[in-house]
Amino acid sequence: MPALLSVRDLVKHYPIGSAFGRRAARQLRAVDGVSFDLQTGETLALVGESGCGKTTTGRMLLRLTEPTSGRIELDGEDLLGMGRTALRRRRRELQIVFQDPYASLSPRKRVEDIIAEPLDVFRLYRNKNERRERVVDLLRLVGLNAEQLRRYPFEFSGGQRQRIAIARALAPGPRLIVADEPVSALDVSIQSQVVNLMQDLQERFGIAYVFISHDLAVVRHIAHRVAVMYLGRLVELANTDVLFNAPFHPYTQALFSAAPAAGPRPRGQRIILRGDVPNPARIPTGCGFHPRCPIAAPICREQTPVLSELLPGRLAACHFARPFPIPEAADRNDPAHCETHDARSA
Amino acid sequence: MSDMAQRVVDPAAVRQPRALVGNKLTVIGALLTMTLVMVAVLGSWIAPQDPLDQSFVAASQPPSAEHWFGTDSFGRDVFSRVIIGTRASLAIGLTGPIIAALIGVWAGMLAGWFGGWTDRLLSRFSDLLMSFPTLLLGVMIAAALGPGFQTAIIAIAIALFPRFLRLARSATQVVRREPFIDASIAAGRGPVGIMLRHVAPNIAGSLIVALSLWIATAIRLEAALSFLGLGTQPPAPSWGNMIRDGMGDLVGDPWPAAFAGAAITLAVLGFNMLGDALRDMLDPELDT
Amino acid sequence: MNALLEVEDLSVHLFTPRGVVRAVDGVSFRLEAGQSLGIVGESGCGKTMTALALMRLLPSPPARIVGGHIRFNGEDIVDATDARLRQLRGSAMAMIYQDPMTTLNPVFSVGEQIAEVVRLHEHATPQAAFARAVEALHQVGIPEPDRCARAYPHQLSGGMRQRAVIAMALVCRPRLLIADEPTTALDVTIQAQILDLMRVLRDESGAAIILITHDLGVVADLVDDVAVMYAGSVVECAPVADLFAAPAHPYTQGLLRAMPSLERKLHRLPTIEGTVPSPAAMPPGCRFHPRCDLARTICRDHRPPLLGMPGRSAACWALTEFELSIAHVTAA
Repeated sequence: MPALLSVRDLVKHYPIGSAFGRRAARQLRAVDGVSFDLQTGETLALVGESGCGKTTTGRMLLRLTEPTSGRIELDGEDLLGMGRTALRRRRRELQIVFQDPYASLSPRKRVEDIIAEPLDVFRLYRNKNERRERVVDLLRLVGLNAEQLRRYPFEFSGGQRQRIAIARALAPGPRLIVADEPVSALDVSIQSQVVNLMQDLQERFGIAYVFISHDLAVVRHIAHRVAVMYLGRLVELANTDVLFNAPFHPYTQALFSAAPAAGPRPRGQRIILRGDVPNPARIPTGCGFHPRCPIAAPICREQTPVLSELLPGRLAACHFARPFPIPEAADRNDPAHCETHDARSA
Repeated sequence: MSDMAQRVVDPAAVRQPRALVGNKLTVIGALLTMTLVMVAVLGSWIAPQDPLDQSFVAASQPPSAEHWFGTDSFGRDVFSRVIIGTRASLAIGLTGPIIAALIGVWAGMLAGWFGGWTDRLLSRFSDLLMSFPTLLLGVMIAAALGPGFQTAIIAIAIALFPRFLRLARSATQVVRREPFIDASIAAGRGPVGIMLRHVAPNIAGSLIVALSLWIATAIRLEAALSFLGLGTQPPAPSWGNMIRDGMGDLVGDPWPAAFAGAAITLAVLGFNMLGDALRDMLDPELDT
Repeated sequence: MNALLEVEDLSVHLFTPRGVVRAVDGVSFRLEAGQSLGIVGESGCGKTMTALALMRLLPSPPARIVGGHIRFNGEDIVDATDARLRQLRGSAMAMIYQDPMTTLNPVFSVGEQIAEVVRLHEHATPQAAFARAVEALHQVGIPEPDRCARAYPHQLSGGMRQRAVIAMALVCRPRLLIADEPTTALDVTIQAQILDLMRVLRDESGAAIILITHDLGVVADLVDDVAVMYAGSVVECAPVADLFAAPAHPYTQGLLRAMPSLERKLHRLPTIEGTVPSPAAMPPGCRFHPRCDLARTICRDHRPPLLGMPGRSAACWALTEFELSIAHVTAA
C-alpha cells in the first residue's frame, strides 16, 4: 500500500560564520539525511535528545522550515517542489501541535477564533452560525466545554490549552498531524489524559501522527513505530514493541537505560554514557556516536554506518548492532567500554 | 498572621492587565491630556476674547481681571491666544505622529517579517532619516515646502517615521518566533493575513506607549518650528510663535512667553505621564 | 537528639494585589543527618515554595512564611536575622536550581564564582579559594578542572554547567543540600550522569539531600524517603521502595498508574480525572476529593490529617480503616 507520507534524504544545513559576500566556513548539520515512510492512521515517533534534529525534521514536513535538500511526498505529490499557493491548499491535510501550550495560542484571540482560523482560511463554512457549530463540535471532540468559546487562552490550564491546540489542528480535517513534544510541558496526570485523547482521535478519524518526543514511556504507549535520531541522522527504526524489547543500536540501549523508571531498577544493567551531547556544528567523523559509544572500535571513527535493514522492519545504523544486553561483565573491564558506576570519568 | 482571611485568587487572573483607574499616574496624565483636548476642541467658545484683536492701548499688560494672562506687545489677550494656540499645537502634535505611526509601523512589520533585502533597504532608509537632527530635518522640509501648518505636520511625520519603523521591526521579529505564528502558517494563512491578525495586535502594546511619548515630542517640535517661524504663521497663535513674539521684550513683558511656555510644559508632561502609565499597564501583560 | 532539619506545620502565603494564595499549607517533615528526602508533586503543589522557604529565599513580596517552624540543627530559622541566614547559606545549607544557565553569572568565570562562595565563608586568599574551586570541579567529575574553572558558563555544556553548580553548592561542605528539579532541563542521558554523580557525592559527603522533582522516576534511585505533595500539603510520606510498591494515598496511586511505563504498553493510560484545583477554588475538606474514587462525605467536610507513623504516613480518611503497617508493605 502506498505510504501517506514518504520522506527521502531530508537535509537541513545552517551556514555558520558567513558574512556578506563570503561563503560560510562551516555548516551546522541539523538534519543530515533522514528517510522514512508513514502509513495512514499510523503513529511514528521521532525520539532523541536535544540537538538530534527531531524538531527540525517535524517542522520541515510542514515546510515551516525550508529543507536544504531532500524529498517529501504526500500521497505521491512532492511537497517541496510546490509553489506557495499549491502548498497552502495542501496545508489542510498537514497540521501541527506544538510543545508549549502557553505560546502556541495567540494570547489576544478568543478560543473560538483560534480554533476557527483554519476554517476561515480554507473557507470551510457558509455562514457564522455554521462556523460556530463546527467550533463547538471540535471543542466537544477534545473534551472541552462549549461555553468556553468566547474565553481567552490565559483563562485555561496547560492541559486545556493543549486540547484547544489539538482542536485547532483537527479543524481542517487533516490526515497527518505532527505533534512536537505535545505533552512534555504538562503534568503527568494531565499527560495521560491528552495522550488518550490523541489515541481516540486517531482511532476515530484515521489520523497519522509524527510524534516527536524525548519521553520514551509516552512513546512506548502511543507509537506504532519508533525512529531514534542522533546528531541529525536516524540511528534506529523499528516497531515499538520490538524496539523496546530488544534495541539494537548502542545509543538506543543507553537511552532506554537512562530513562527514569517508576521504581528502583536492577543496577547491573545501567548504562551511563560518557561525555556530553555533542554539538551539531562539529559532528565527529565516521559514526557521530562513536566518542560516547561503549562498543566503539577504530572503524567507527573512519566509516559512517548506513541505516540498513538488519531484520525485516528493523533498521539500524551501526557496524556492530546487536540486541540488549550489552557485552558480558568480562568485557566491561576493557577501557573501551563505558563506566557503569563511576560517574567521575563521565 | 492567620487572620489574613482575604479572598483567595486565581493566579491565572493575576496576569491580566491591571485596572486603568488604580494608577495615580494614569489619572493625572489622562486628566491633563483630556483637558488639553477639550480646550483645543472648544477653543472658540471658551476663549473670552478674540485672539487676533489688537489694541495699542492695552499692550504689554500684566495679568489682570480683564486679561487673565495679561496681553502681548500687540495688546492681544494672552489667555485667549493660549487657548486657541492649543488647537494648532495639538492638531499638529497628534496628526504628525499618527501619520508617522501608520506608515512606520506597517513598514516596520514588513521589514521584520521578510528580512533580507526588504529589511536592509527599509532599515538603511530609516537610518538615513534618523541621522538628521529632527529640528534640522524640519527646517529643511520647511525650506523646501514653505512654512505653514501642513509643512509642520509633514516634517514631524518624516522625523518620527523611522522611530516607529524600528520599534515595529524589532517587536515583529520577536513575535514572529512565537509558536502561535507557526500555527497560523500551518493553518494556511498568508503573511499579510498573519501580520494583520496576529502580529499587529501583539505588538500594539509597545507601539501605543511609544505613540503617546512621541506625541509629547511632537508638541515640542511644533513649538520649536513655530518659534523659528516655520510652523504656524502669525497672526494665528501657536505656543511656539507666542514665545517668539514674546522674546522681543522678555524682561518688560514676560507674560506671553511664560504662559505659552507653561502650556507647552503641561502638554508634554501630560502625554509623558500618560505614556508611562500605559507602559506600566500594558507591559506586564506582555510578560505572560 | 535533634534531627538535622525539622519542619513543623509550615505555611507560606502569596499576597498578590488580588488576594491571598495559600501556596504551602501546613507542611511537616523531618530529616536526619545524611538522610535523603524526595519531595514530589505536580505543578502548583507548593514544592518549590517549600524549598525556597527552607533557605529563607522566598520572593517577598509577594510570598511570606505565615506560620510554622523550620528548625535547622535545633535552631528555628523562621525568625533568624539576615546576618545569621547569610552565615548559614552556602556553608551549612546549599541549594541548586533547575536551570544552570541562569544560576551562573554569565560575566564571571566558573572558578571565580565558586571561589566567591569559599571566600564568603572561610578566610582564604583569592589564590587558595580558586584552588579550592578547581578541586571542587574535579570532585564533580569535570575533566580538566583547571581549564573549566577559567571558562565562562556559556562555554560549557548543560551537563557541565550543572556539575559546576553542584560543585559550587558543595564546596563548603554543607550539611544540607536542596536540589530543585536539578535534572529537568537536561537531556536524559546527561540526567542519568548527574543523578549518578549526586548519588556518589551523597555517599561520600554525608550531606542530607532534599530532592524536589515532578518526576517520580528520578527519586527512585536517589532518595531514602519520599513526601508527595498535592495542592499545598503533604499527602503521603514513605520510604521510597514502599511508596512504589504499595502507595497508600489515592493521589499517589493515581500518579503511579498514570505514568506510562517502559516495560509494558497498555491499551489506555489510566488517568486521574479532573485537574489540580486553582487556589481560587480550593475544594473544602480534602483537596483531592473531587478527583478521588474513594471520596465520601467526610472527605468533603474535613481535611484529613497526616496519619500513621513518622516516616510512613498518609492524609486520607479511607486509610483510617486499614492499618499502615510494615506487614502490609512487605507483602508486596
